[in-house]
Amino acid sequence: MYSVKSNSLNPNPIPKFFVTVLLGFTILHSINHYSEWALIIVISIMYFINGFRKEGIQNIIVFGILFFVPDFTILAKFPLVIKMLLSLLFVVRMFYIPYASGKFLIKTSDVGSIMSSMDFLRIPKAVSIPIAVMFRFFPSFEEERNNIKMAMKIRGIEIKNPLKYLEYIAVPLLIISSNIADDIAKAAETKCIANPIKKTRYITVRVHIIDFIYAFIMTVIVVGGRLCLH
Amino acid sequence: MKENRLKIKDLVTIGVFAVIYFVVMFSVGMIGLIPIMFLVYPTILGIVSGTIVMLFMAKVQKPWALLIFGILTPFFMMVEGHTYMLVLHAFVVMLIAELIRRIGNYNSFKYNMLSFAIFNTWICGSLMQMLWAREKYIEMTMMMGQEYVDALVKLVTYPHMALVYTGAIVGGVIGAFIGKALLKKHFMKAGIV
Repeated sequence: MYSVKSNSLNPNPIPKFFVTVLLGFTILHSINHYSEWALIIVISIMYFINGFRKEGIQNIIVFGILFFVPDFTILAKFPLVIKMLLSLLFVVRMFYIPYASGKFLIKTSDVGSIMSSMDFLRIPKAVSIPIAVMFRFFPSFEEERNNIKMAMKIRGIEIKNPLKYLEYIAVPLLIISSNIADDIAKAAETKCIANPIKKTRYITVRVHIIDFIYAFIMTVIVVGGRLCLH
Repeated sequence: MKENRLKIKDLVTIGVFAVIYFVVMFSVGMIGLIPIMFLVYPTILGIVSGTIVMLFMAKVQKPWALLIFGILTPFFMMVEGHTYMLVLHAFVVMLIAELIRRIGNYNSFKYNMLSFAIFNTWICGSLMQMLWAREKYIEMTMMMGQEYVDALVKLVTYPHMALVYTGAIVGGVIGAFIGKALLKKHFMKAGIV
């Protein structure tokens, strides 16, 4: 999660999410190759105008490599085992376009704006609170896991049996996590999360022209690419 | 009188356990790098994640908790580039699991076990995607040589998928028993459940 200044060039999470779902369709219903490139380039442009240059370039290069992999006929001469491993690349290639747009969503929107867009869409509290907790809990989960590993190293517990190892890691982790869950719940109750009135958020979602432009361009490319195929 | 609606505490628990489940799922998913292992992935996931989900079910014995818990992971996977089909498939699976849990009144081990076995089949959705997108995939792998394509066509079929589903259910049952043993051994003592 990166904190991003709210500006008129960064679409809010709703169109970004819409585009990700839309691009999911391209896995099952293939579209024209030129449109695929157009989608990737639009995402890269969006990265550029928001100041993420590295990600923008990376996006184009990775897709370029994946796009041309099936054209290397020399691969056909490799033994079957290596081919099996290479087939993973094809799977990645199929899923890359929606993945790129999902990555754009995660990189350029912060938790606050995701929360307030969920308010905006009237998503029930039963779903939005767990999602917020997930964002809050991810970093502390990693921290706890590293702590347990370090404690095991200090006491010289060695990993001989993977099943035992799993038990040694999983049990304390689950106990700590369920204690943390209780703590988070208490903290949330103290901040009066159950209050049924409308909440004011630090970041509010505003609708800019860029939202419509982004969603519209992507829709046109996907629909156009689908039609061109026939 | 027992309050039967989901409270803030339960919602937070759902979020925390969803993170654990998500991390475990991804670490187990690393074995998917070897293509054949894809087919046993649901079974292994069931065995490993059994403890987590059983603990979750023991902690939150209320309606709809499992449905929300189960739908969060596919939802995040969709953001990371899977199709909408995965979420729809998961939703149907979770609904069945939730109903089975309801029959057992949310606290019977037998029904929770069955419910987890069904719950565990949601991951098969990601393999089903391959089946639904088969033509595109085969078209891309054409240059790999005919024998490869033939092997693939033979491998990815509906009967094989049924086997994968069975594997997922078996894995779920084993995982549930391991989970029960661990719950007895550690968590009851610690007063977590």
